[in-house]
Order: sequence, then C-alpha cells, then structure tokens
Amino acid sequence: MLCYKMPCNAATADTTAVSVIRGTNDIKSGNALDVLTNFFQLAAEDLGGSNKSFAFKSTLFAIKLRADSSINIDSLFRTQRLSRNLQFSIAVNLDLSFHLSGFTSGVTYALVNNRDKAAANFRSQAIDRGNTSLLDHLDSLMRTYSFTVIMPIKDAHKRDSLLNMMTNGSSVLRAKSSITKQ
Amino acid sequence: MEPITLTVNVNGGNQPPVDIRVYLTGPGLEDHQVFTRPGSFSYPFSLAPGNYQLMVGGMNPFGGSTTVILAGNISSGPIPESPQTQSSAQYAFTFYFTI
Repeated sequence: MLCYKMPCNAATADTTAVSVIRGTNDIKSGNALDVLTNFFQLAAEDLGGSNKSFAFKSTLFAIKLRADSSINIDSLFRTQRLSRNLQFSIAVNLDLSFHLSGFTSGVTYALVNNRDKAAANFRSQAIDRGNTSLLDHLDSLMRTYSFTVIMPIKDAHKRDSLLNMMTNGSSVLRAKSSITKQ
Repeated sequence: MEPITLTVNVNGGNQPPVDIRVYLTGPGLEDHQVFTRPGSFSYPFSLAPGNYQLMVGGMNPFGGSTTVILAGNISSGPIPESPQTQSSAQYAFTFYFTI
C-alpha cells in the first residue's frame, strides 16, 4: 500500500522569542528539517497496544551525505535540490503478537522551496555593515602593526613567534614549514 | 611570480549570511587588495616574492563552519594545503607568509 503523508504539527513556533536566525523550530513544515542536512527519524508507536508500528523517515540528501560529505559545501548543496526536497518514510505495522500486519511507505516532495534564502541572509542589513566595518578596522590595525612593528624585527625567530601569536594557530614556524616541503 | 591558491569552503549547506571578505597586503604596505565572494570559492593569486598578510573574514551559516586552505610555494608561514576551520558565528582567519 502506498500512501502520501503530509506532515502536520511537526514543530511549534515559539512566538515569544524572536530570533534573527531561523532554526528548525521556526519552521512549520517537517520537510524543512533538511536545514539540519542530516535528518533521520526513527519512531515507534503504540508499543503496548494492539497496533504497533515502527517508522523510519529521512531525506534522500541525508542518505547521500553519508556517502559524500562534500555535498554539504554551499556551492554543491545548491545543486542537490531534488535530493533535499524529497523526503521518504517507511513504516511497518505489527499486531498484538508482533506479527507483520501491514506496511506503509510515503514520499513527499516540496514543489516550492524558498527555505535556502530564508534561513539567514543579512546582506545589506545593519549586521552586514557592522561586520564589514569591523573586518576593515581589524585588517587596518593588523596590517599597520605587522608591517611597521613586527616585520622590521631582524631576529627571525622572534618575528615569527610574534606573527604566530596574531594568527588563529594556523601559522607555524619556518622550521616546520621547511620540513613539510622537503 | 609565484602561484598561490586560496580556497574557502563553507560547510553546513546554506550560503553564509554575509559575503566573505578577503584582504591581502604586501609586500610592504603598497599592494592592498580587498574583494568579496558570496560563498565558497577558490582564488588563484600570482604574487611577487615578499612578505604578505592575508585575512579572510565573514559569518558562518546557522550550524555551519568555514574551512580555509592556502596552497603554493610558501617559504614561511602556514603549512601549505593545511586546512584551518572555524565554526563560530563570526570568524577571521589571518595568515602571514613569505614567498
């Protein structure tokens, strides 16, 4: 038996707290859980009753992500529109004695999807201008400090040590770099 | 001129909420380049010998992270092709290197 399920009351929006970033709780469509990009749901219903069922729900994208994690990079993510919009579910129904009494499967496809744009886009907003201003200022400070104060230092070890302190732990001393290149 | 490639990958699916800004300075303070990209990219530089400062800044998508890889014939600075990742909401990678 094949039936098409439409998710309902999948998430309840909290109208008391307003967040600039829209998370999964802000979205009413169950299919929108692909924001997580890793949506697997296993459900057991009415285990003590006469109509027990086990259900598994996922998206095609979540399955593909298991095999290739690079599709989570934004440029490749956009090309996976079909996979992200296609959600499927499988359910097994059991009777009181745990004998198979039925089988259910469902497929849901989101024809209209504007979630990618809606998740978070601060371009041309105050937060974007603030971020740009902060980065410009940071670059100016570090540029001035490194090229006028640190670079003229003759002692290479001391100079590299100071530069390393200003990075995110990404730089290494000259010796390590040389070892890698050999 | 030495070919240096900057690769920025935004993980987590969605595009970052603001453009990624790249600042390159050197040698000295004469050459200062600033450009932006809306998402993941790979950018080839052709740089003269000297000291450089490179900064990559931006914001991560919700629950995502950004990885920066600098590749090329670098004599001092980051290990070439060694990925650096930050998952904080806002980030700034800074590299100092010599060609």
